[in-house]
Amino acid sequence: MNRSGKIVAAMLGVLLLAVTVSAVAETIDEWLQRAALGDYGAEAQDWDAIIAAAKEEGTLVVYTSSSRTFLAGDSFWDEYGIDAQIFDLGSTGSLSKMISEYDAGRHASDVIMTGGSEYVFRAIPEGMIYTFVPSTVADYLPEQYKSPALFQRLSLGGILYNTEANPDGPPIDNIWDLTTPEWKSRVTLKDPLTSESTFNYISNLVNHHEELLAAYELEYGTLEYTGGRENAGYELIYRVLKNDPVLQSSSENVAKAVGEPGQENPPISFYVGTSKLTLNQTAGLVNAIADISPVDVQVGETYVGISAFAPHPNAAKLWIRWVMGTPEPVELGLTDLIPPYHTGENGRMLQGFSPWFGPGNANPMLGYPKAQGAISLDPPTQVWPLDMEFIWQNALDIQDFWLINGG
Amino acid sequence: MRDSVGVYQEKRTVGQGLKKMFFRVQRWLSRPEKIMGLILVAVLAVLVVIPLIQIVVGASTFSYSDVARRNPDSEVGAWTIYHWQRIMASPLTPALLVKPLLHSLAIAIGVVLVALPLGSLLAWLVVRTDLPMKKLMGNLSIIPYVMPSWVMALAWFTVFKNSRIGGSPGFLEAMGVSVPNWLAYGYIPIVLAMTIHYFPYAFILVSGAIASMDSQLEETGRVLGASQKTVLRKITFPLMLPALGSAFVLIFSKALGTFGTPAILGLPVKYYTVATRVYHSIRNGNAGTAYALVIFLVLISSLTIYMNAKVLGVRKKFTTIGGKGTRVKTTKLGRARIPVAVLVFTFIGVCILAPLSMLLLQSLTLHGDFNLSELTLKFWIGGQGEVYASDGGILRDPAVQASMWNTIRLSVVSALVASFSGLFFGYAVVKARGSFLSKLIENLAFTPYIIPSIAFGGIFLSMFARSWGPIPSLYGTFTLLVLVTVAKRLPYTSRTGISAMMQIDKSLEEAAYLRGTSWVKRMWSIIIPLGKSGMMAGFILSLITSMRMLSLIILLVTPKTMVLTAMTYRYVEQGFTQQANAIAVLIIVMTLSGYFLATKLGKSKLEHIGG
Repeated sequence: MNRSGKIVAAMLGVLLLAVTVSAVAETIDEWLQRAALGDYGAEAQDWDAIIAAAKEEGTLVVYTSSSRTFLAGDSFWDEYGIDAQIFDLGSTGSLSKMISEYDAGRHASDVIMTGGSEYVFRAIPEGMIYTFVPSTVADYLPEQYKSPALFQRLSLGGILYNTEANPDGPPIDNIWDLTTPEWKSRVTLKDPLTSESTFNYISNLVNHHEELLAAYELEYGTLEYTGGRENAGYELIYRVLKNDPVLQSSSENVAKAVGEPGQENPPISFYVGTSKLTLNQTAGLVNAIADISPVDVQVGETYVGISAFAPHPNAAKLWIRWVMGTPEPVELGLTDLIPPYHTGENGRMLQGFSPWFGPGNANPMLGYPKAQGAISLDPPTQVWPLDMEFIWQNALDIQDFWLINGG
Repeated sequence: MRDSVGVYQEKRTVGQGLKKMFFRVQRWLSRPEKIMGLILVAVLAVLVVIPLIQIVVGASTFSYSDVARRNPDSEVGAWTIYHWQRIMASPLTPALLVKPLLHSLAIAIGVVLVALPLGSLLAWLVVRTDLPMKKLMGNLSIIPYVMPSWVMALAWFTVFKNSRIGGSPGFLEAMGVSVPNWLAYGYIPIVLAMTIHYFPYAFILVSGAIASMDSQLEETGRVLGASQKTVLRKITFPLMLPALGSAFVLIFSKALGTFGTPAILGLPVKYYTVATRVYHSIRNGNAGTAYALVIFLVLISSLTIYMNAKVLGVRKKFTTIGGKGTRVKTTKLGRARIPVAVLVFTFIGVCILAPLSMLLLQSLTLHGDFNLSELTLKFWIGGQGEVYASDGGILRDPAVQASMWNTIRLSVVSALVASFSGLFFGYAVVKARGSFLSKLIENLAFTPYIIPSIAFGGIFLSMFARSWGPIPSLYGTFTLLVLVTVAKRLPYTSRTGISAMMQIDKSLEEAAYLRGTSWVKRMWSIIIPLGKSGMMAGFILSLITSMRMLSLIILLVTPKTMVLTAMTYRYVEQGFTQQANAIAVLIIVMTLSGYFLATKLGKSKLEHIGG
């Protein structure tokens, strides 16, 4: 064999070796056993053991849809001395990365914190994500908030308006007002093609088409279907699109577009995560949530779970306990907390939930207190929870409808 | 009798044939360029051929999402025309295919129509006139090429943003100038922002052609009584045609597949292109639709190249035969000399400094509204105690630091791999010139040229997401980013390698071969040293390109392999405008210093840009 032949043979050898090595991998059953999850989940969670094991495991990897997770990471380090590497990938990004990595057999992430119907209807049933409910909070959560997925928070979506330009309250009182010539090119929203949460709000409107129809008839009389679908939800989407809405790439941009002070004719938002109301304090914006018929607030869902084959399962469990917070505020019967939330007694009780404690988010525990400036979810406020099953079944059709009509 | 002779003869022929074949194979195998050729074909099969097949397969089979939510009676992987039907014959056709395709074509044509005359005019001014400080002018003209095209889009947005999207005003509106929508978003700004990046392509290619053209040809025409116009039409233009043709193809096919600029400037007015639709489709779980769209882009690019070759025919290059060296006669601009020079410098200055300074300034204002009374370094070095990305400074953000390191690592490693492989490609192609293998390699290596970057990234994503035969799954690895960068640059690096190898006389290697020097030794002490300058040029180009690329890697980066360009785009998406602009400035500074450092060290120029 000449020299080049030897080189070729050597290369083949290396390839063969690579294949052999990559063939040896942990099975899902072995991992579940090691992680004490799924069928191996312990009845009683031994937190001392979990904490001790977590400290041995090393850096935790979290994929999240919220930049506030960085703050929870900082406090997690302060509390346990465990480093959490946090990747803010957006709502569609977090899950699609996780699934790609699962398919590729490269298990990089430990914890996934995001929303979306794919989480509940694909990732959990297919065994890509495992739900772990910490024993500390399990008794305080309603069943639908801990199974099949554990809710980390409820995110409230509302319509934002500029209070400086509208000192007498919201400039609209009916969602159909957004389709009138007055609001042509003045409605702004996050691009639903890149934002799962916005798409969910839109899909949920289609689900509630009857209430939408009633709201229309209340103010404008008989609804004529011009968009080709006999459904008031589709009709609303159609008319909003025909009114030249302005798309933004993030809810931060939507909040800034509406709420930047000093604007002569500021736009109004479509449904958007109202957690950006905190920008009123940090960036001097002047936003408020409009109360309109038929619905003021749509309730989005953010879940937290452990990735299949997570390299650091104990740290992941501890993280989940951390970001849920303690049930103390409920036990103490508190209704309102006074800022600051990150430090002192509040910080101790809220733990890793404190970054999200504010207007626009709610802890899923029953009877949990509200933050200052948070909208009440009790009547007369109209609240629609998202119907994730409806969304999973219909989102693609609604997406196509959006595309066809110029979105 | 006859029969037996026949059989006997046949046997002998078979035996001889086998022997002959054995010797041929043996001789063939003893030629290293053939072995290398075979290896390269295998590499190309993995990096180029299979990806192409993958696109077609992806566009014609069901994915998980299709089956789970749309076609429950089907199976994942089953053949289907579903995606084709969706984009070509459904109510979605206008939104997914027709309008985006028209937009992409309009943009590509628009960019060519502005960038080509602009770059050519500049080339003529720099090469053929008596303008002062021409050398500096030439060097500066190349800088917009070094700056990423989407940075121009960010800068454009920063300056021209108007009240349509609400929030803080852009620079002009902050100064009290109202900006119409057509100037702020959509077609016009996309074309202009891309032109600033692409005119240097035309400049480099055309100035090379002008410099090598003998002006005596034109003079002869004049002496023989042709008018200035006739000379231009019959002599100058035809001589320029090949360079103009390659510049056209290069700019057109690049503009067609560009993602970042249309994504940033198109969204506020819902102006979508095929590239942005591909990105949306992949992100929303409609990969099949995305691949079908990609095939359209590939077909259009191929058609452009074919047409270019057809129109120009065999007149690819002109050799002017004559004993004397070429002489370039400069045109005297007379009184216009100084004003023209000022104009040129102003134009180039605006192209370079305006984006840079606007982005820098915006990143220094508290609300991003150019209010100079609220200047802050918060977005660069952070406020007190804030070290997370949304509020902290980019220089203290560990994620930015990690991305910066990844960017440097990726560009240096892939530039090294690309320039070395370019040399091997050149060796295999030139040594076996004329053979089938040589042609095959040359053509395969050119193929990535016709696949738009965003699509190329998409294919690599799906292809390497799982292990495949002997190739392990590469998703989320640094190796994958290097591979995709090297593969996408093959058309350029292989050209550089081929032209470098052509310049090495084969007698040099033959002499060493006759002395019994081994192949490795021959490569090491003859081929590599002599091909060094060509390799260096390839290295610099790859280095710059991979530092500033976005479309190619936007679908491939993962948290651990995050690079600065993708990070900027994420910040843009999330509305952290100041941080995004600050990182953009950082990228410009990095690419420019990379460029200057490399040109200083390598004493080379960007002349192989067109391949």
